Amino acid sequence: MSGSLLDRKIEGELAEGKVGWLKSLRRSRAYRTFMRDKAAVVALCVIAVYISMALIIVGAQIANKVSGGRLSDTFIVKEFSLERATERVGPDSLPGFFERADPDKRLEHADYMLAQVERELERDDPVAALEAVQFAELGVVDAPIEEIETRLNDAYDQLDEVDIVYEDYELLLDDLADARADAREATTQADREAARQRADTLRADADAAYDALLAEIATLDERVDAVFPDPTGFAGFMYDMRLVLGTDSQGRSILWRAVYSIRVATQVGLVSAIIAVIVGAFLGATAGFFGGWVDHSIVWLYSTLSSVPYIVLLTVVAFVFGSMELTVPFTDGIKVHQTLIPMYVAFGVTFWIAPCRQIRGEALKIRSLDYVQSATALGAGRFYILRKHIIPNVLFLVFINFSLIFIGAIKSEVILSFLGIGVQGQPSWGVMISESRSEVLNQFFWQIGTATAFMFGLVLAFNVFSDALQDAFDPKHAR
Amino acid sequence: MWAYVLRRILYNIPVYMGVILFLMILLRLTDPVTAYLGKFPTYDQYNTKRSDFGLDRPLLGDWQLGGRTWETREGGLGGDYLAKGRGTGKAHVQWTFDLPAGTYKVQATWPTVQDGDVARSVGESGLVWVRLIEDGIALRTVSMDQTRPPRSVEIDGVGWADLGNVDLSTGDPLVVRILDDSSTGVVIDAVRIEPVRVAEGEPPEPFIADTDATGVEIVDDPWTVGGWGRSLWDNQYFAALGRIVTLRFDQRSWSVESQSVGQIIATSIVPSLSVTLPVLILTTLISTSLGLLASFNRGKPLDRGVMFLAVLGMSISYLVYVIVGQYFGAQWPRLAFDWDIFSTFGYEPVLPLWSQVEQGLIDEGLEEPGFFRVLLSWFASVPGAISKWPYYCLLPVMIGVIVAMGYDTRFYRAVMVEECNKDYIRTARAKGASNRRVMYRHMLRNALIPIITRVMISLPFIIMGSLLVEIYFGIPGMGQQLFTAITNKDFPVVEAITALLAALFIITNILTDVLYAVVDPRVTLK
Repeated sequence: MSGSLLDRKIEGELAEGKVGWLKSLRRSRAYRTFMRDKAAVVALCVIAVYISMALIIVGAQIANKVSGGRLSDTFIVKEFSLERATERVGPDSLPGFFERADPDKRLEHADYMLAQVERELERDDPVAALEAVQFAELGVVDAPIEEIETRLNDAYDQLDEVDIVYEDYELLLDDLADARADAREATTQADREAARQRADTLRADADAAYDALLAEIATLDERVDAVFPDPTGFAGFMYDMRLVLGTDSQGRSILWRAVYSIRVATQVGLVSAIIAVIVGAFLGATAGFFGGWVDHSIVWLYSTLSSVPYIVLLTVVAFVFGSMELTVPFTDGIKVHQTLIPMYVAFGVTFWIAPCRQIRGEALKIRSLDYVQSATALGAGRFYILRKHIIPNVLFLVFINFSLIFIGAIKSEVILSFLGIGVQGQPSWGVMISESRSEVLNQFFWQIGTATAFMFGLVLAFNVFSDALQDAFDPKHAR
Repeated sequence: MWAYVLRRILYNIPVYMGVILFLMILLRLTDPVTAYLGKFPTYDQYNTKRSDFGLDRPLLGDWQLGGRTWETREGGLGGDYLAKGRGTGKAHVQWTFDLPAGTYKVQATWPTVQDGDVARSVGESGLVWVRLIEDGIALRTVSMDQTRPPRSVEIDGVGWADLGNVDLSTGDPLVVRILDDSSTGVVIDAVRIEPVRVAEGEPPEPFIADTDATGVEIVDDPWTVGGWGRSLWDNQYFAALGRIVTLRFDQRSWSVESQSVGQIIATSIVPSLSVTLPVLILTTLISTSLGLLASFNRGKPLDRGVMFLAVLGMSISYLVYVIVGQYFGAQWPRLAFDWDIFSTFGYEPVLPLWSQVEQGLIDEGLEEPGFFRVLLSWFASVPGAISKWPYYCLLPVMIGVIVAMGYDTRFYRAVMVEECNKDYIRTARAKGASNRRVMYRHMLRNALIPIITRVMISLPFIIMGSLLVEIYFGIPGMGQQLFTAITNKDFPVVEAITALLAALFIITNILTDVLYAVVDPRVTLK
């Protein structure tokens, strides 16, 4: 029997089936098992939300680039631009949920904002210069220059006032600490009593001074508000949203950075997973199906690569590419090490091994199954068998590995960014977590918390999703 | 069984050779010397670094060795000139002139051809290095650009390139050495010496010395002499393999010059192990028991709860565990209650090194401490050393265990669940075996193979240590050393540590296979 006859027959059946591929998917056991798992469906929705978020960000940037910057004032393009994620929007290390920052932070910020206005007022064209002073929606009040000057001076006077009160408060605190130390070290009962009483009065004084300080700062805030009026309406809402999860040590909005990082994470995850899965599936299927020296050399290749601990391989690859003076083709002189390419290569080199190994094993197994044997006996060609029997049957491994590699890439990005060889020049969850090292020591958990929460959502969803995939496709997978 | 073990060993040899080759190529994608010295090293710095570490030899055979000795060609001044293919500065042509003390201008020329209207140099290379030897010792190395014809001055229709002035004191010869350090090739026709100023007497006339003048020394690179066949065995690859096989890690580190690579590795193994070995043992113990428990309560709330926690734990970044763990484990108790329970950064040697103990005894006045004397004091220092362990290492260990537990528990549970479904368990139950007996006598023993694999696979990784934990807690283990070496571009250390880790991996692979054979008699039959 000729191979072509068989081909035509099977092709025809498939063509009939092809009409309702969605229907046949719905009818498959795997699909039903998967859909029965409520957690997996929720996870899939979460993943969809994240990926569409990433698509919106990328889409906005591409639209802006294609239109030559004409769209740069559109709401979406503006909000999802890199500038928004890297600009200063408020005081630094501001806690989230509109909690008040520490007095010294508030003073520092007031000082910073006033200094901006003062500097611009000295320019030749103060009106235009003041227009440029902008913390996201927060801008300088729309008033005559003289008016702004008086308000600025008022604010500065108040700042001096606060400084005095603040110093008094700090002196009281020092005295209080001394009195407490005295009380601890006193030798006689009477001394200790006296020191304790002194400490109590001082403490009451300090509390009063703190209240006074807060009142003064409130006045200062009002006067700063007179220069920088709170935005109202939609702009006010947007400005509040920027501060809702606080700001990092450079006064950048944590929420915006975390949202922008979705794009970097998705990009790193998708590209690495696609590279790794394609290479791994191709080599694995080839090795498993052809056997012989092809198999031997591919097995040798992956045994070799997997003999280097994965984190070592990652660091070395990222390091080598980092110090290479290559430029990316088709761009105007962007250096390779400033892009995500070193990470793609590092992840690609390390992550293709798992899918390759599994798919090779599965292909070896399928090759010896009866139906493949009979197909061979019927005269089906090698590539026909590869295409019709092997590939469809190992496809589930591709999906499972895809989502596992996605998780692996996102998590490794964090480690590489911490080591200083990861994402550069744009925010990512890894960059955020690494930057929050020093903040944690000052008991500021907003940045690390936000980045972790965003990452947790995506990784958890993928974890649940890949578990469900394994259950759906592999009846042996333990449940 | 021995044939099986031998087969596994033989199989792993080419794998390891491949690993070394892969790593060496990877690390040489950028020039390690340039990476270390920056973009503009002096000629001598660059070449000393290169040849010290043998980087001037080919990596694995050199098929372009043709034309790598000096050859005489026809043309140029005096009828012939010298040409040579690419080289590394080990071959040279050298003129020595005995001249009275004074200052001399040195010039060189190389042949040019007329290519249409443009004169071109015969040599193709960009920079060729010329070494002018002053005062017998002081060296000055200048470069000449051989992509263009020599054009500084033209005398009698011949163009000359200025190489600079040399001050000669009495009795010193003037030495001009043309080096072959060029990636494409070098040509040299003649040098010209022109006196600028002479200390005493009448200055000699300017003169030209051709390549066949008397006293010209033509030296070939010693190792190209054997032709390309020699490069097949005399190369970096086999040198590196030899170092690993003989465990000779005596090259100097580049960034810490007082230490050899071997010393750096030896001092970092104990710190690494003092964190990672407890992590491995604790994680394996805890997660196998959890896995066993979960698989036995399959589908019940306990199982679901454990699995849910495992997935939650897996979804948080390692770095977050480390940062938050360090804060709440070490920083916060200190701030809030003034408890100094764990160190945040730093490490004191938990177990003393043999050589350190020996040195200590010598410092105390013992001339040559005997083996047992050293052993005795080593043991004497153990309790004190171990009492320091919790302060420096317990917190990193706890963090490591928490991180690893999610993955391992899931893995072990999956293994146990698969065993649960097998016939022999049903048989055991049918004959009335108690739950406990089924769990420990039947299941655990049969699940041993995957457990062994998992543990053995993690062995080389534990030597590597938790890189992050080591960096973050300042524990000078292998992970931290490797990272420091990478940031300092300390090439010998990076290469040695990666090669060593790969070797450990291969050795544990072989050990795993042997263990399989011991645990499961069916294995050797395959």
